[in-house]
Amino acid sequence: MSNEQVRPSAPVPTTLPLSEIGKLIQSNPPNISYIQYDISLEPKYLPQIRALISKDLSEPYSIYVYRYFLYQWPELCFIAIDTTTSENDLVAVVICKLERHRGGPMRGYIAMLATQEMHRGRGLAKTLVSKAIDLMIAKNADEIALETEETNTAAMRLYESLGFLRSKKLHRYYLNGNSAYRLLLYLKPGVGQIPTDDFYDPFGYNDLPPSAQDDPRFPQGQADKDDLFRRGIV
Amino acid sequence: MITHDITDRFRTAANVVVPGTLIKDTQFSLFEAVGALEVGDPKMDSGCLELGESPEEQFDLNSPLLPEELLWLMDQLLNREVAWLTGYPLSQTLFTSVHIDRLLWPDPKTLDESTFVRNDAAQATNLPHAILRAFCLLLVKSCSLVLTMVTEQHYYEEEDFTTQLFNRELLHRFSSESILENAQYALQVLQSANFESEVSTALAGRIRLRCEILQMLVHHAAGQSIDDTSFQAMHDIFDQVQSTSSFGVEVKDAFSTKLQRRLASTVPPRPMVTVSMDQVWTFWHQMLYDCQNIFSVHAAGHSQDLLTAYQLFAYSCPQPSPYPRALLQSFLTLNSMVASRLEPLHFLEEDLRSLTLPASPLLSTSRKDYGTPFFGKSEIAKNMQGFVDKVEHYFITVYRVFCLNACRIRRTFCHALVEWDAIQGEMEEIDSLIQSLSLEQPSLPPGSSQPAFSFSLSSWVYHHKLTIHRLTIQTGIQQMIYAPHELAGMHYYLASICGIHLNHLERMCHFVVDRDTAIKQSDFRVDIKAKGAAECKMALDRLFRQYAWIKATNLVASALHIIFVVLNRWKIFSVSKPLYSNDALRYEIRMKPFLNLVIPELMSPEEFAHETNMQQSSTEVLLDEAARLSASAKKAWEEVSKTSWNIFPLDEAPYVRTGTDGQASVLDTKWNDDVKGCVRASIAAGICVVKLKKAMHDEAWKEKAKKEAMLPGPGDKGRWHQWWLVPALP
Repeated sequence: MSNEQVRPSAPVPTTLPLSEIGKLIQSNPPNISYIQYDISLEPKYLPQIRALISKDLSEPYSIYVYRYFLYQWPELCFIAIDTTTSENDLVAVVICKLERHRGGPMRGYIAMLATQEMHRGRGLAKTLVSKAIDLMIAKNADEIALETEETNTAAMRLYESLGFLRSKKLHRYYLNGNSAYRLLLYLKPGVGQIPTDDFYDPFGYNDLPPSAQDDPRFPQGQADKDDLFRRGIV
Repeated sequence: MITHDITDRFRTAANVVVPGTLIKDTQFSLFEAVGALEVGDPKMDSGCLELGESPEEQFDLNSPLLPEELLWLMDQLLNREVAWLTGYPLSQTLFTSVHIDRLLWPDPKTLDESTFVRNDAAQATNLPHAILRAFCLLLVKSCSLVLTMVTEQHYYEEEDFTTQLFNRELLHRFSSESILENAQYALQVLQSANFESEVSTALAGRIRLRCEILQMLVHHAAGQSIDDTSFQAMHDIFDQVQSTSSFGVEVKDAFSTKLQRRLASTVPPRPMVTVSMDQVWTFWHQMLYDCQNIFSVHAAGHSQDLLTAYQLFAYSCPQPSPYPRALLQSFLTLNSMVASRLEPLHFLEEDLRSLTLPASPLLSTSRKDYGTPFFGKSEIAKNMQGFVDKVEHYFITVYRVFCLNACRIRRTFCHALVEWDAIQGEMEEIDSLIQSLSLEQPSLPPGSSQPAFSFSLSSWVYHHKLTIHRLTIQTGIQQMIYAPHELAGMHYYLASICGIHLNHLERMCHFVVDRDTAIKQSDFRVDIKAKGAAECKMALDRLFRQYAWIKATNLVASALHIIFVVLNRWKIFSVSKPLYSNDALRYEIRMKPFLNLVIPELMSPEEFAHETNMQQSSTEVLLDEAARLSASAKKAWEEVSKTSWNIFPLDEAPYVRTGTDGQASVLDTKWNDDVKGCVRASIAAGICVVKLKKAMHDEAWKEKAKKEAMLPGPGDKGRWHQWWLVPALP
């Protein structure tokens, strides 16, 4: 019986460098412009962002949730606007963050994604997500994560076509009682082996199994303070 | 309290800040942002009122209630109780009832104090109120017992259950007897009331139902089931309640989210949660069946049979709700015995005896029969104790995992796998020590040219670890974790883990046969020899049963592996090229639970891709092979179906429950359905292969399949078994 630990092997090189991939995905439909968010856009676009996102939610996020993301990672928010409207109205948005996940890998997190109903099917969401991913790659992200409602097959198809995999199912994740899938994308080899300062002890075990390191919540009753983002899905 | 007026300091400070600047504490987390309230937004600020709106709910508890209104209120409470039992907080369910609120707050010091209007003599004699009060007291006491059962077991807050009580004690301090007595009084009152007889009967039925539910929960708390007569009576009353539900007349404002203001000031208002009345009846019937059926696990007379029983409940469709799962979990520790039968140590030894250590001096329960003086006090006993101390807890935990919600079963297995892997390494050391101390002679296992030692303890660990390994993959398939393009690989992997397990079982058999021979040739007393031979035979029976099951699993997995390979080759389910990832990175995510296992060592992504895709074989050859595999799979499951869920004979079991129909036991039925599902899945796989063979050169069919092929989800038509995802093809 071997005592040798398995180490992940070198990646099979993709034909293109990661930084070039966005170009293949991003679409430029007529009369749509993409803008990287900036704090100065808040008076004009934050109310529209909130309106678009809360449309699909049973309970709204407070202004603090938006500002939590938009002030700390404004550059990771991208919006699509309709240039035929006199006010260049918002038609799609993606909001993200990027930080170390429990002291371990640099994790990008796609928090919210929404497209106005009449603009769906034009590749706007995919383009916005791809722009956010490109920037996360440029900022040296190790992995990207998100959650999506288990019945949201459109979202899963979008993310899976970009290379994400479902890594686990989360029972009754959202406040409306629906379950979710966590989707994960590794950008570098060996990410699964980066240690985190985590603690998983569901049955009073004393050791820390390495596979426990990405469990989203602490033992019963204690929500993980960095990952409790479960009001709704867009 | 010391207060400071900071208005001026705040204004001065605010003046230096440019408008739009975010002032954020570095510790302000996303959790706090999500929990923060926006003052003045009626959706978040529970104190925010419309112009002229009252902060209090508008319900007058003194106003008289019609009997039909009473009935409506009772059914609404049953409804909200269902919402609570499925995981929603009390604040959105039962605590939106004005009546429940007044009953519980302020906290009543005596049961008599628990009334809708405190200190009101007129209330006490008000008939409708007395009847409703009796119903509510029974309801709240039931909730208290449910809560105790769930919170004493392992559960996940907000996933399975929400336990926040907002300082309401749920009549915890009052006995169930006193509440049941009060209900009897209410039934008498009801009889004397001048209500229309149909409605009167309907109301009495509801009170009696609540009495039955409470009594059932009291029994459960003592580890007992109710008798079949009470059980059947409960279903009958439920049917009666359901058929009279339409008599109800709505009572306006009797439920209000405004009550949430009194529960907690820092929580945003949340909508009331109700379910459809149809769901109410379905849920209650199911929960009663689950609770009653779960006691059938006591029929299991052996650790292996108990594992089968727990698995059958874990993978019931629908999975039992949180309360019955907690009840099932409670049997593992009830009165410090496992399933009311054995202490944990003897339970563990029973399992060891039946797999790798029949007639062994290593086990405390058989040491005196098979030991030599050398065994009793030696280092060996000390090492064996080390094994037991380490493993007992992990072993019971495997049973516990089957009581978790389905998502957690898989995730906990991922963790358990790593732990069992580590234990295996430690147990190999103990095995080596015992081996040298006991002067064990190596023997030649099948298919090996090297003599080997039995490694009985780590071999037992490896067997259970491989079971967990297989179930981790199978629950992934069950929960649709794998995208269509991954299914070829995952079925290959499942088949490969089964193959490793089959080899291991052969090795285990070999050493049991060795032990059998040694016992027969020994100079033990005749009766001891006979007992030892019986233990060896039992172990071989058990190993054979495991072998048959895993072989059948291996065959279906292998057939599906090929089916998905062919579908991939024809790009039936294929997705566009995964742009930001590559096969190696995705392999790392997918195999993360297995990445660090010492054994079985994970293969490289290249090797995995090679084995999965079988590029060297033509589609024709593969489909011929798949046809053979699915036919063998069907036969193998049919063989399995000739056996039963239990190996230990039922008439020797300490506690036997038959189903309410008085015939087959609940577990027999569940097990038969389960195996039949596997037979059907094998047949469906065979049909798939036939379709694929026919379509080999039919490009039109392939185009059609790209549009129409689908993977049946859990509960869909064509999903013959939760484990088996047979694609539905045109």
